[in-house]
Amino acid sequence: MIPYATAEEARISSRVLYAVLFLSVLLSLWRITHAPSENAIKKLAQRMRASWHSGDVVVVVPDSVVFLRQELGDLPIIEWPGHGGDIDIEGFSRVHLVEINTPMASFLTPPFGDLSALKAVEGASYEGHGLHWQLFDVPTSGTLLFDLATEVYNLDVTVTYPNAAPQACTRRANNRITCPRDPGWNYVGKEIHMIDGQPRTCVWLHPVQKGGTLRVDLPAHLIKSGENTGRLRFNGGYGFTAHGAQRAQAPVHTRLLAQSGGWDVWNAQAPVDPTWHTFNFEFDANTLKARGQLSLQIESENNGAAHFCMALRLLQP
Amino acid sequence: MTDHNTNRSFLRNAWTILYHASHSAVRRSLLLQSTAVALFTIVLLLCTSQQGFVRDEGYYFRAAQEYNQYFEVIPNILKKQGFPALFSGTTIDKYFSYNPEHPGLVKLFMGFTWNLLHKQLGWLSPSNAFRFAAMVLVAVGNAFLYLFGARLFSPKAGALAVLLLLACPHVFYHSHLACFDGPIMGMSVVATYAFWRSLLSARWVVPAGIAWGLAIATKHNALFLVPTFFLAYVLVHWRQCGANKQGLKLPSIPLAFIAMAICGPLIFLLFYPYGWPDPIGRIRAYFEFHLHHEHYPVDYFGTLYTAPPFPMHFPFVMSFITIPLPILCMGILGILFLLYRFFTKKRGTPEHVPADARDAPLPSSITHHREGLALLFLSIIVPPLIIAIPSVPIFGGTKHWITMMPFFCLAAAWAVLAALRVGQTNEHPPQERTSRTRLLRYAPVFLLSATVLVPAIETIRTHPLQHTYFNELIFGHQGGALLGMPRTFWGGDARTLLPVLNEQASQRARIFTDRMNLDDFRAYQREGLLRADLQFSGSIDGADWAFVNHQREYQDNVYRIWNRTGDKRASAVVQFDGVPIVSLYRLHQ
Repeated sequence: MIPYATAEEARISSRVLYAVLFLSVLLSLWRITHAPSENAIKKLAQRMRASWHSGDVVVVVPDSVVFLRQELGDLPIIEWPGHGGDIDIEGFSRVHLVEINTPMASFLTPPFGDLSALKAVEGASYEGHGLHWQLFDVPTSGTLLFDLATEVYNLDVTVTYPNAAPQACTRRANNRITCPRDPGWNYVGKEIHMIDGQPRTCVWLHPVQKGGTLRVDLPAHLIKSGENTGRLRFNGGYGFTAHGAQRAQAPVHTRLLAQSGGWDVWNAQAPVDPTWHTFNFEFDANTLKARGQLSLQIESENNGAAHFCMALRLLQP
Repeated sequence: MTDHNTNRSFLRNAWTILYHASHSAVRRSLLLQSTAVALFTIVLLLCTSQQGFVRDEGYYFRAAQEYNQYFEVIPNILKKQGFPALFSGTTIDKYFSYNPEHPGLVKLFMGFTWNLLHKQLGWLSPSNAFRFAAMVLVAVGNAFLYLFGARLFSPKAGALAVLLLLACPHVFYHSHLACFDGPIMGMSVVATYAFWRSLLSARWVVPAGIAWGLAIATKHNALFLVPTFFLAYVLVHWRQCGANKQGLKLPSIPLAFIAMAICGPLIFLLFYPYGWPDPIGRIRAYFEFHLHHEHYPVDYFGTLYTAPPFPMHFPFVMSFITIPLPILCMGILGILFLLYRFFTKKRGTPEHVPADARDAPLPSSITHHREGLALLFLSIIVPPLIIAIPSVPIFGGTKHWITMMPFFCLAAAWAVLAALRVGQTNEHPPQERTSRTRLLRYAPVFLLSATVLVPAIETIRTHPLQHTYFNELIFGHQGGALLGMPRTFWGGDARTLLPVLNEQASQRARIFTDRMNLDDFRAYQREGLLRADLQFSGSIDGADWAFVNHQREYQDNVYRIWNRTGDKRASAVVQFDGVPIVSLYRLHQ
């Protein structure tokens, strides 16, 4: 047995080595030249800020590259992983779509679903340095009257523990309204959670023990306003966080309740699964007005690890 | 007639003398060269020891210090309580009961180097003094890799294998740490080499037993060397197996196995003081810990695996995308060629040795060479195969099958040297040499440099976070992140951002350190890398600053921070191509 290569082995090895070195250098160069520079990102961010309006949102893909987050992280920004369903841009009037063209992203990231229907704003685009920016107008789906995530900090929250009288949750700190017991989880507040493969902005609504209720009263003026006529549309989504979906013990029962007569405007049972369940329904404004203030009620047969989160918006179509 | 016989005898004696002289000269030369390899490795690792303290290091620093205290109090114990007290359960438990789930050799050695190089001499910082022990064991492994390569193929192959090994980013990273993975990588090579030599020379039988004993005293991975050695031996000698009228015919059992059976347990126990009061009970507990090791989450192609069954392809795919492309391809090619040689006997016979071969190996038999090759193949394939078993924990990426890497790099080195032969032959007489053939003469230099430099540049580029490296097959960090692969694991990344914290944090600010544990936090403070007034916080809620290690299993921490600050911008980020590895957030303005 010998350690030396035969001429044939040497020839093959040599060719493979040349090829692999060439390939390594080529792929490295491709990676380097396709990666956007921080300077290019900074310039783009400045341009985006200059054209920023209230009601705008930034959508970045892929979510694994954080250059833009570092520049525009103080603004509404959705970093889309490229999976986990469509991007939820409901309630925003314009979308700044930024695609960072990394080599792998070109292969792996699927085209946007619901953004294809948007109308591009002329003159508001940029292409270069591995970046693509385009500003889109979102076709109006109605006037946003209420967004639970935005306004939750100003709402009244009441908790009824099993076999106890209702108590108001009054402690407001760190963007949370905390209830009397179990402050670690028994609170209501706007949060971001990984649900169904995407970080989603929603309101933390962990149910209390079996027989108890967590209630969030929507603003009293919301429906009563004389301006609200015709149809009103509710939309949003709900689900367990990634952690909760694995460990929760029982479904969460959600009700949108009209106080007058205890009428359920809408209700849903969130099964213990990792899905982000969406809803969209319309009601006659006058019918709702007649029923009085609306409340959101959360209950569960077993609240163990019920890390539940919800988005709720009211629009006038 | 007498003259003729005298002449023949003289010639034979002269040949014997020359043979032994050359042999011992080569042996001396190899000893010097392997020592140089070890020194080079130590100096290189010591000069590049900027890696952050990983979670486990915090525990092992403490364990090493506690173990070392035992030796400091020996005179006192002898004086006050007498000799038997040194081995009493009370004494042993006092100094050795921390971190008994790992063997003691590395921690004892770490305690010794810390005591000598930091405490006594003050030459090294505490962390580098601890790490020095692991680096020495890696360096010894590299020296033996050189020897294995030199004797199996050629000294050039051995030297190139060491260079390629050090150029692998993941190996380079883990070689620095005061943990067990670098040391067991080194000790696996030592044990394999000693076993191989013992198959030819009786002088190596006891060293083989000792080497394996030291290996199991380093980490439990060494247990898998036994089936590796056994299979390698059977692979070469299986033809001797059979049955006839006299009964079953088996090849003779290598004496090294007997030496291993005797030396192994004794050496393990010697370096496992915790086991001294109750060897059977405590060693059983040690093995039970590893048989029922808990599982940590692993992000793999976008799926967070938290419990078995784990994907069987994990170690193979991870190797495929974390070994630099030139080493990966040449390693695979080398294995294929050598396997072909191993199984087809018409090639690889002495008559095929080219006339211009200058790099002759030391005299050895064809069988012994085949035993070496079998050990090489199995040492490459067994470690990832074990991790491929669906119930075996796979957390932490590549380090758990790192013991394959020296052997893989040796196969790669063989293939690279094979490639270099193309430019080395003088097929054309001087008058027929064209500019092309002249250029070809320089090809080996170019190829050799490029083969080492291309991976080495990646190791330098990712320094000191080489464990985050993905190769060009998936376009580096961006591809890895996009495919949902683990970005980091061991919690040492935050060291890079400590200067930001030191500069900007207010007095007595509370720091949420995420994957950095309290032991590491204190170690940074002891070394002056982190301000002494800063306080450790176990939760984000009570903190003023927060580190985030970007691991999907802990991604909720980022969201908690965003929920709290309403701003997704970090104060500082360590990123590669825009992919964050660790971020530092200011929670209070």
